[in-house]
Amino acid sequence: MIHFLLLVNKQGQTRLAQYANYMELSKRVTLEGEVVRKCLQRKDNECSFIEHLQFKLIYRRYASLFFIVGVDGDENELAILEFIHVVVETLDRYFQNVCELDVMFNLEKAHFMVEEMFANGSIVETNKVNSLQSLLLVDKLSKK
Amino acid sequence: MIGYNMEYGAFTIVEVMSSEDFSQKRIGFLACAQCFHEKVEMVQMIPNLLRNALNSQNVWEQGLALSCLSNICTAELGEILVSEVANLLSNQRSYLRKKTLLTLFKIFLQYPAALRPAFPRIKEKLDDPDPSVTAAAVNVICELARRNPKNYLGMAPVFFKLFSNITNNWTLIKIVKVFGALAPEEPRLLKKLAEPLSHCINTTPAKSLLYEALQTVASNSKTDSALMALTVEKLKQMVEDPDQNLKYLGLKGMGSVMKSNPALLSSSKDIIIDCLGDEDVTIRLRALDLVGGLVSKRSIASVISRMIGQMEARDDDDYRNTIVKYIIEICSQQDYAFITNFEWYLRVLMDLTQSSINHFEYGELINREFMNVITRVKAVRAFGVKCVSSLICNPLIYQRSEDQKSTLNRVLASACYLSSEYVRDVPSKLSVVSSLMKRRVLSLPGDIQAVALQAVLKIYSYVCNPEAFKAGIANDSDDSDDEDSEHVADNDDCTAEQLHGEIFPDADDENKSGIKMFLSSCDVDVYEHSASILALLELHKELVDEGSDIPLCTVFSQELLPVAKGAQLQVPQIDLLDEVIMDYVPQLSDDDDTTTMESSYSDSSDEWAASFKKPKRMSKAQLREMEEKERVAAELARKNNPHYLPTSEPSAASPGNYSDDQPPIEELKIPSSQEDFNLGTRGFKEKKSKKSKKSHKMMTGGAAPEGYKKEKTSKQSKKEENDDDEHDSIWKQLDVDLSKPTRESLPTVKPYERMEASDFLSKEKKEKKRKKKGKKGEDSSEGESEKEKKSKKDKKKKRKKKDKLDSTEEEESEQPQDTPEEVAISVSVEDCQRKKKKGRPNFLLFNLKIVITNNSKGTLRVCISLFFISLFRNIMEWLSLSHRPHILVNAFPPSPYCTCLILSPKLLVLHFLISVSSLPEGKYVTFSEFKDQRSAIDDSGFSSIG
Repeated sequence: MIHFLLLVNKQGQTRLAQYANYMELSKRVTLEGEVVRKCLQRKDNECSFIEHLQFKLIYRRYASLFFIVGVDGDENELAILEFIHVVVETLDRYFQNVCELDVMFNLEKAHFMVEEMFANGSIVETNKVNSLQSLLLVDKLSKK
Repeated sequence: MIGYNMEYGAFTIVEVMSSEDFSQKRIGFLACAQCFHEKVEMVQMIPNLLRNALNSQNVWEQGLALSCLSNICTAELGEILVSEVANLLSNQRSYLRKKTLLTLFKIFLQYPAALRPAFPRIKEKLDDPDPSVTAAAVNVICELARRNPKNYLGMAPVFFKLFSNITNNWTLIKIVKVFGALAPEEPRLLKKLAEPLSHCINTTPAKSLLYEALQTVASNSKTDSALMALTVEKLKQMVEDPDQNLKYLGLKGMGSVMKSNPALLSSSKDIIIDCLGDEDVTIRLRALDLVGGLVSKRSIASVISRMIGQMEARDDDDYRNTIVKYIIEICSQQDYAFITNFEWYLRVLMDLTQSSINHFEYGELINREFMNVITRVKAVRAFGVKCVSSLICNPLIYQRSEDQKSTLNRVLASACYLSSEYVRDVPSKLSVVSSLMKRRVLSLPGDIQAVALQAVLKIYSYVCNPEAFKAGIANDSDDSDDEDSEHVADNDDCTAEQLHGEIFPDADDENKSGIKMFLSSCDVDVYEHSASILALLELHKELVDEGSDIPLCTVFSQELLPVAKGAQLQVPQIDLLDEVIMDYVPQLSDDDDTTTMESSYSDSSDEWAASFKKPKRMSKAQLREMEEKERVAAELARKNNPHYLPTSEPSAASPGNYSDDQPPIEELKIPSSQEDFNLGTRGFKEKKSKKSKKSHKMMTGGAAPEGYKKEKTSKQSKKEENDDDEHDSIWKQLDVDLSKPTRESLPTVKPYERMEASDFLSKEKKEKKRKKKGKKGEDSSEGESEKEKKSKKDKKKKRKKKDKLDSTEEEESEQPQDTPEEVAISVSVEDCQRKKKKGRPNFLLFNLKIVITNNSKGTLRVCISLFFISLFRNIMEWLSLSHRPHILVNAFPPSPYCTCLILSPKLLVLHFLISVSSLPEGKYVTFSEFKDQRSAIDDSGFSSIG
């Protein structure tokens, strides 16, 4: 089961956080701090999995952005790694060459996208077209 | 969001959520999903909003509501909305169907009663034409089956079919996962799976699916050998792969093999040990995990030296600490089965204490090892004592321990004890004593200081009179010490005067502080030890001056022998100690006074000392006799004890069994069908008979106290498990048999007139106005809110009923021999006053009369308090107080009175005086009456508040 998805920049600032289960705010902040510190320390030649408390962190680095997914012990690591890539591709498709600023200034859209792709700790949609459908609709409505 | 608190905006979010504009609505829902949770009061405002959105014509809006609900679902929301959500399962849009499936899973977690009726429909969705819906259904069932596999065994054929039809890897992974969960429960399934799984392993190009299949095979010990060999081979390939991710997964898979078939891994031993030197910490840790299972008597030395080398090479404290832990675990596994040379092991331990770790975490572990090895392995005792006594003199240990987090100084506890207990093996007693008398000892934890003081006294008493000391010990352990005593005292390097000088230094010697520095310690133990040692030494000195020759060492005349782990538990614990002693003492003196009592009154000091040894010298038969007597006495005392409830199983009560008794695990079953919710007595009796059959399985939570000791252990374990308790209980509740047909349906809660956000606003305004006008006067909104409250209560009552049912069950199971009784509470308001005081704005006084049938036991109190908490919450809500009240319930079990104090942050104080009186047996208040009486509260009680 996926517990959370974080998008963190190289300075350790969280740009996007989506949790599947409620966690107290103070706990979130400490958790994110520890998670980010652990991920930032990693070198390129090390594997993309870290065991942290009860979670397993699966991360992928795209330029200066880290995508970190926290899962519990029974999730398939490679599948999640692939899922991260799908998320990034989807963001890329919508923002056209996504960068940190895109996510920062369109936070709600990024959230919509991620929400379409995973809910309740499971992956819902891996089709890029489908997961962008509702977002494009909103855009159409707001243009009117 | 992003770590900032958004709860202050909760109200505005609800407003935006009710906006007509979809793009705004969408943002409102997103914000709601992000920052609402059970503790935000506003959650109670949104069920209608969600319901409307779920029933809307717009697909996207429905989807929005689903994803929002799945994020914030509470038990209450789940109960209200589950039927609406389930209806969407038959929606024609696959987009909604798959979202609905996943939302349902979240609802099950919060509101487990929904699983049973909704499950058949989820099962249908496995055959859905849209693959993404199938995937979602597989996801949900996979999550459910992982926790309670037994209930899903019947679905194996369905998944089997899916496995051969589906090509989507994401779904296949989940299906394989389901198989992995089901296989341990059903061995036949494993045989069937062998062929398709090996086909999958051999052909699939996707590494993720391959890994999942390998993992499933690896974690089952009963897989056939060919498939297992294939799996190990593939895992080996993965570990050898240059890709770090695959290497990690390979090691992880091997971890599962290690658990199921450790023998198969011997061929890949070298590869795994090579991984210890990997750059990546995660991989190294995984390899460490495996190494423990791979060592043998021959290879242990090389593996451990490699690990120590690793430890020195890295500068990551966490990792080094982990290595220390693993080294000790590997060496001590299976009672040191792999260690042939304990001198080598002691050297390893010494190396560990000398390592340069800054935050040493496992000092206690090393302490335990020293203690174990040196006390139990006589062959290396002399060597070991030499090692540990050098630790005491090593200033490095004290320096390293200055860091508060480091626990390296724990080893000093065993060092002090060992070098004083086996003092004749200590090479330089003077330096040991002098380093224990240094000021730096004061910085150690109190318990270690106490051990150190004791050690000083022991060493001193030995040096004063080594012969007597030796004699005392030699007497005690007659045969084995004979050869040891030869080399004893060869290395006597100091005199009693020198040591005395260390313990009581001259006042003008500034470098030495002596034992007196401990007198100002704030630790009670240290203070007591130092004071008594001081007094003892002074007294001894006086006696010596007078010419008496009492050797000081009589204080330590017996060697302390190691005791088996858990031996203390074997000693029967005696309740009501006084009574037992009264029974026991005369018996003892009858039999034994000839041997022990007389001699202990003799004058000579030698005999006085010897008398303490006498009881120990009793033959084993005598000892056994005494134990038996003790046991009988305890049994008697227990029988006479009115508070002790005998258990149905006599074997469990016998004292010998305690140590290996696991605390029984509670079986928490919610009533599986709606019928049980009706308060029919028949349902109760059936339940009860079932329960009493399983009584041995129940736990303290609602179980019979099977002997006080048992209760104690389970209490302890309960404490430990407390964290996971809440979560686990949900999974236990989800553990229902799904194969049987069910008649129950999802609860359909009528949309009740809850306050919508807009209403709420206007009402607040009105209230303010009213407050200005004055308090008396009934306007229309008052009536409305009353209705609304009633309907809300109806709903609450349902839950209440459940609570009560549960607690009644508990009560009944506590005393299976009693006739079944029902608990029912009826409440009526006798008096309600509103008082106004200066300083305190509002003060409400209720006199409620509560009539309760049944005896007033502890569970009743819980019942009452639960009931009131829900009642008060309603009152508070009705008074439009957004804060949750703090409620103190005070009940005095024997008296029929119970007071409740409710403090809300707005300083509204409600004071309840409740009279509880027992009704004649058989009188039973139904809940319809109950409801009437409730409405009586509404009419009489609250309307008068105005």
